[in-house]
This record gives sequence, structure tokens and C-alpha cells, in this order.
Amino acid sequence: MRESKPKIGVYVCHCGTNISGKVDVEAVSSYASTLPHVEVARNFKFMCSNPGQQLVIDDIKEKGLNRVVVASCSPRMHEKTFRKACQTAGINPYYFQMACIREHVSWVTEDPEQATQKAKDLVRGAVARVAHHQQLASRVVDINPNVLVIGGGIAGMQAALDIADGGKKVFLVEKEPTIGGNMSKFDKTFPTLDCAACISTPKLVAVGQHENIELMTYSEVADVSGFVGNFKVKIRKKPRYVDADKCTGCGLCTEKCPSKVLSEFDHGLAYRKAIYSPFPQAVPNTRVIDAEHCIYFQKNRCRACEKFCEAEAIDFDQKEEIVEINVGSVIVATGFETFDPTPLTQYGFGRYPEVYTSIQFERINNATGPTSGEIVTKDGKKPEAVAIIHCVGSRDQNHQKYCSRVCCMYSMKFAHLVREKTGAEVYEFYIDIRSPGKGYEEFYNRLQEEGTHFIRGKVSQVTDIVDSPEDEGKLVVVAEDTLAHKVRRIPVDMVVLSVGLKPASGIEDIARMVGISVDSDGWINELHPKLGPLATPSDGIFVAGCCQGPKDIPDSVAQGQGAAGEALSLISRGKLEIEAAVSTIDPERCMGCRQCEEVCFYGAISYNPVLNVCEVNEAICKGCGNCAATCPNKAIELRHFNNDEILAEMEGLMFAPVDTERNFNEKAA
Amino acid sequence: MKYGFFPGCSYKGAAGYKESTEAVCRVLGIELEEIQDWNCCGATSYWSTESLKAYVLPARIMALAEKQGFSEIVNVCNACYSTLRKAQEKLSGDETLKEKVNLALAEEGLEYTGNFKIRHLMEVIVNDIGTDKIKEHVKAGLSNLTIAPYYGCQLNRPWADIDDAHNPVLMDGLIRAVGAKPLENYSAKTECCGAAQMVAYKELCVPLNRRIVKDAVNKGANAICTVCPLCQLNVDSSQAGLGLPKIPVIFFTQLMGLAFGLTEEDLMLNKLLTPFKTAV
Repeated sequence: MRESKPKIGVYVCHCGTNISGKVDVEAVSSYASTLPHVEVARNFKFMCSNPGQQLVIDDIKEKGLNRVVVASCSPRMHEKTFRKACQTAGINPYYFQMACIREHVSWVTEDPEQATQKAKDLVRGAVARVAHHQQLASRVVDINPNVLVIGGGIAGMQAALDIADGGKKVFLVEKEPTIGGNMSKFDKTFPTLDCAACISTPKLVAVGQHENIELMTYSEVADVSGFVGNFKVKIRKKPRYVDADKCTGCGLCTEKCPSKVLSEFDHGLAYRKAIYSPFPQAVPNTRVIDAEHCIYFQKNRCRACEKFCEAEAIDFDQKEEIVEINVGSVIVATGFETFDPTPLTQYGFGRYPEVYTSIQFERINNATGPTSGEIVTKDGKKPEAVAIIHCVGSRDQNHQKYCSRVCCMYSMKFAHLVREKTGAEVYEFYIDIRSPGKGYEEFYNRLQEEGTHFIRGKVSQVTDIVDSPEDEGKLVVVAEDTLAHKVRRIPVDMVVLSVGLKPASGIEDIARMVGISVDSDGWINELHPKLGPLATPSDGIFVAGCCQGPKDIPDSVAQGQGAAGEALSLISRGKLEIEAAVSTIDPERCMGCRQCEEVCFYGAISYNPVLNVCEVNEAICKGCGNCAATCPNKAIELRHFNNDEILAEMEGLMFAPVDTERNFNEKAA
Repeated sequence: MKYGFFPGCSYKGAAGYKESTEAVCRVLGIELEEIQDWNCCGATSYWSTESLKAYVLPARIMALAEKQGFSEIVNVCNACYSTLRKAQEKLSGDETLKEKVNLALAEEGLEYTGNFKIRHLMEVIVNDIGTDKIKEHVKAGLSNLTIAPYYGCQLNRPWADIDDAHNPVLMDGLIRAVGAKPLENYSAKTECCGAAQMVAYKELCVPLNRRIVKDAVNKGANAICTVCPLCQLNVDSSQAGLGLPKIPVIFFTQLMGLAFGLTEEDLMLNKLLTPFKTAV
């Protein structure tokens, strides 16, 4: 249904030289002026600039335009800009159509003539379509001010604290029994060598005590539904078998527990008990029973912890619990895991006891670690020489192609600690040293001055083959020194594999639940690599920290704060305009077959058994059109993409008016 | 089971490799049918001097095998195995090269298509026959033997598809199946023996063999077990000047033969430079 006779304005953008370098924009605009209903056609250097938008606004006001076509970049880039200009000038924003002649034409077409022709075709389609556009009204919904943060590492904690300090409620969900993430395993941090615990423990405590943060540890996100401003989230709280309200964290239960398990927190270098707390500064300090290794759960006897707990906090009957919360936005901060070097058999991890991963070496250095911070071999000896092998699993065509960004720096931190604590010789085997960051290159220089040996060469093997008497009882690291042009065989007592970073397990599930995607390496895809690093294509879902890609502590903290800012900015808007291009179901035609419900990716369609029809929740609908294409009864119409509009556009695209220079019959002949 | 067999140039002259291979295959029911009119594969050295001709040599062997109706070519030498596989891989990815090679082969009415599998006998025995079947034939007790499984450097590199490239374990299972103990922490199992460079650059190759021998001796092996004639020759013959305790270097087929109750004469153990007695 057309509200009025169309009067169309067409604006062709040069985009600097991005478009005009290939497309004859003059020809396109003068061609556009010949098309039906076109009142005015212009071309301009930058349509998105203020003067460009003003052109549209003035023409609408002065010439009485009621439809606008801008031929420029992708609608993803500037559709909103021009809709707003239309609205400012007093016409419905949906009376606007964009023809993409940059991404779809000038950037991808070699021949200028063909490019110009294609631009004309696209403009003709847009003009034909826009004449059929209908007035649509977008709706406004309230934004729930609560925020969900998934992941309690340094990025998630920082985001939670900033939002909570801003006076908003945060639910912080962490799958491990404690918050703190990987950072709480470290000893010192590069390049300043400040103690990781000294700077992170206050954050843990602040999170634990903040009145606006509801901490949900040992919990996982089970389901997310809804839409920006109004998410419904189900959280699965795993049973700790310890009553958090009663547990005083005295640790007597841990002392008395007879069951020993290799500690995940110490990456297999030490044992923990079946009832435990991962590390002394854990928040919360409530113990947790690992049912898989608890003698009571496995063999139905023992209950030693229960007998000794004066607070009577042990509760073997605790069950898994599903908690439902409502939030307006979500920050994903699921972090990283380290790469498992077992497949790189040439380095002998798992075969030679003195080969460690870097995260294990962090634990060795840590005062709460298996050796209380002393660097010693498994036999308890002080090493005389230590080799650190860079790029294990990173920058490797057979494993992960990307650079993990932090390994060069933490490797040099290790070198410093080894020299400081043991005086041992340290050999850093590297491909390139990457130290871009404030004070990082200076740290590299300092390490060289301290006498660390830097050997440029990829290590071919770590072996216990004895070549010369000094190899006896040592591990020999073999590498081609590409600066000295010779093969080096260096006997050492300990080998540290600087393993790369990879996304934490379970990230795909989280991504799927919140409707975002991961790249080929498994990292979360941000909205824009440069201009939208913390947002995602899913409105109201933000990312922070290593789940988006490897980064160090300063960058993770910065992202945590940035994501908090994004969430707070969304909350302060209070209300949110919802896209009007959504599906509607005609109840007269719907026969309740529910096929649309099956194809709706967003869960926007539900079945009403009373009326035997399907209904669309317009707030959830993203306007993808799956349902409209599926409906066998043509009961579903996607607003702004209805049949009239699409057919008109296609006709416009395919059939040029007869008098134009392009004659299809001739071409066919 | 019947296979096309490419013995390679060193097989017949190697210390009892041929005799032990034939004897063991008879026991296990493996028929190795020699490819008629085969030629030298060119080994690793030819590639570096004459690239195109170096492809024609292995391609001719494979074309002959195809013509004679074999779908699998079994090797007993690591260098032959890796040369044939390398040629197969390069030819499958390079149509121009394949055309040139086929032009040469056409002189003899041969054509290379690449439609077959290149295999090593040790892997055939472990994967096609299987350790359970092997155990059935074991008669002699070898439990007092610790055997260092020496795979050499070419068997699994770069493919690493039948086994790990750096820490292979296929032969360990075979040694266990015949009742002996594999030296599991044998770190020199994939070190290079120097191959044919032993002739031209002895001073560089002897230290390589020292590693192979010393690691086995230090860790308490009674013998080193090999799967390649050149490996056997190098590791066995280089021991004279090492000043280390001597350790016999036997073929895997000789070890299997002993377990199957064959005699030292059947397996021509007397041909080894370092004598091997089961009662060590």
C-alpha cells in the first residue's frame, strides 16, 4: 500500500576516490535522473559527511522528496546514518534505500566501464524498490540495567568491578571454584616484575565483597534467551557439597581428607585433596568436594571431612541447581588455556621429567606453588642451566599459525627469575623477539645485559642422548643457531616450553548461546577489528580479554574496563529502539504447522495452541526472513522485505528501460 | 597376502636381510612378489643433482608395478620407501612434471598414474598381520633381551602418518609381540645414521652413529634392531672405532625369525659384524 506518489532523490557518493576511482559517478547520477519517479539525482564527495547529509535533508524539505536512495558503501556501514537524516528532514526513516556500489562494485570490479554499468544497475534496482517502501515504526523497549559477566579472570573481574562501582548490579559467573583465572597462577608479571598476587588479590577480595556483585563460582551458563536489554539467562550451579554460608574456610577438612589428586591449579606438579580450595587466596574461600575423587562418593565410606567440620558445613546431599537471572547485557570474558605440547614429540614433554610448560613454570616460581617458589628440578637440585623454547605451538604451520603475543615477554621474565633465584645460565631459543609494549623493549635490553643467552633458532629436538661428557645427566637442546650458522647442542637441567595461548574450552558453547561466532582459530569475532573491538554483531553482547585473541594483562584489563563502559553506556540509554524490519504472521492464513518455529534461529516464534497459530515476538526477531521463506501458506511477511519490495527491486535490477545503452536482446544475440 | 615387492639395491647384499625376510614371510604367509625389471630408486642423493631424472627413476619402478598389476608396493629400505613416497607426492601435485616423466616412461611403453600405496614391510607386518597373529608363531623365549628399536630418520618424516615423526612406537609393539623387551626410552631411535654420506664424509657420520650406539648401550640394550639395510650397515660397521662396548645390530626380520624358532644359519646371523647370540 503506497501512502503517496513517490518523489525520489538519488545521491551517488564518491567516497573520496574509493568509488569515483573506478565508477563514473557523474554518469551514474545523470542516468539516475532519467529513472521513473526520480526528482533529483546528485553526486557528492562524501555523502556520510555533514554537508552530504544536509544535501538530502535540504532536498527533502525544499523539493518535497518522500523517498531517498543513497548509492555508496554497504548498508552495514551507513544505513543508520541516512535513515536518521531522512527522519531529521521529516520523512519516515524506512523510506530510504541504499545501493552498495563500493564493496559490491568499485572494490571488486577491475574494468571501469563494467563497474559504472553495475553501479547503474544497482541504483535502478534501489529506485524501483524504494518506491514500494512502506512507513514503519520502530518500537522502544526498556533496558534491564543488570549485567552478566561470563568468566572471572582479570578481564571479567575488572569489567564486573567497574560496572558495580558505577552502581549497577553484576552477576559474575565462573566455572572454576574460585575467581582469579590464569593470572592468579603467575608469580611475577612482565616487564615491571611486580608480584601477580599482590596486584590481583585485592581485586579478588573487592569482587568478593562488592555489594553490587553477585558472585556465582563453580557455575556455568546453561542457556541464554531474549535480546538486547532483556536477556533471560539460566545458570547451572554445580554442587560444592559444602554450605557456603557455614564454611569458615578453616581448611581442617582438607587437612583430614585422605584422597589425593593431581592439582589442576598446579598443572599436575603437585597434589591436592578431594576437598580443597585451589589456592590460599581463593575467593570465595568455601571448599569444594571433587565428587569424582571423593572416597564417600565413590565407595560410600570415609566422610572424614564431615566428622571434623565444626561448622557442620559439609552437605553431601547438595544437588545441581539452575538459577534464572534477567540481564540487559552480557560481557563474555572466558579467557584462554595454554597449548598442550604433547603432540610436539620432538620436545619430549611427558617423556622427560625436566621438560615443563610455561604455565607449570609459573607455578614453580610461585610462592604457593609445588616448590614454594624455589626453582629446583624434580630431584630437588638447583639447575645450572635452563633452556626456554619460544613459539611452542605458535607460529607453527602444523599447529597454530598465529603469534600468541605474550610468550616472548613471559619467557624473558622467566630468564630474569631463573638468573635471580639460581644464577643458572639461561638459553632463550627464539625465532623473533616480539616486544611491542610500554617498557617491553627496554626489558629485552635489560635481559641481554643480565647475561641471558639469546639463540636465534627453532629447536629441533630435546634429547637425553649423551654426545660429550658434559651431556651426562642433562637434557640436550639441539637447534640451528641461524646467526652463528651452526648447530648448537646445549646441555641443560630444565627445559621450559613457552606454549602458546588458545581459547578456553567451552567457548563455542558460550558463543552459540549468546549468538556470536568464533574465527577459524576459535577466538570470538568482534564487531569490527579496529573500530568495534569490544562489541559483537549481537547487540548487547560484549567481549573482553583473551577470549577475543591472545593478549597480556594490561590489554586484558583495558578491555575489561572498555567492555564495562560499553555496558554502562547501554544501560544509561535506559530505552532501546528495536529494528522495525521484523516478521509478522497473518493469523487468518496461518494453519499452525510450526515450520517457522523450527527455522527461527533466535527463538522469536512461539506456537499459540489456543488459536492454533504461530506468533512472533518482535523484540527478539532479527528480521532474517527464514520464517517468511519457509511458510507454506505465505502467512508470514517480513516487513521492509515484503514481496512487492523484493520483486520490484529484482525487476529494476534485471530489466533496464528500453532506451538505455544496454540492450539485453542484442547481448543475447 | 600378496604384495608387489621392491627390494632395492642393498637388500640382497645386506647381512641376512633377504634370508630372514623370506623366512619370516613364509611363516606369516606373506607373498612378496618382486617387481620385474626394477631399477635403483636413486636414493636421496640423486634429487640434489638431477631433479627431473631423479623423478623418472622411482616413477619407472612404480609404473612397472602398476603394469604388473600391483596396488601396493612393499619396501624393505627406508631410503627406497621415502624416495618412492616423495616422488608419488610430488607427481600427484604437479601435472607438468608428471607429463614430462610420462614422456620418458613412454619410451618403454610405461605410464605412471600414481594409483597405488607405498609401504614398508615392518609396517605391513604390524598393521596387516597384527601382533596377535605374530604371537601365535612365537616359539623361542626372548624375554631376556632388551632391544633398542632403531627406526632411522626417513621412515616417518615428513609424513608421520603410520607413526609419530619424532617418537615412533610401531616397532616397540612388534618387539613386545615376539617376546622381547623394547628399550622404551631409546632417544636415538630416529637419529640419522649418515646414510650414503658415510662413504664421502666419514668424519661427520661416525659421530652420528656414536649417538645411536651409545644411547642403546648406556640404557642397557642387548641389541639394536633396524628396518633398513643402510642403517644396519652404518651402525654395525662404525662401531670399530667408537671405543664403546659393542652391540649387535640386527634386522627386525632376524629378531622375528629367532622368535619363530628359526636357526642362526637360516637367518644368516653370522654375517653381522658384531656377533649376536640369543643367549647374551
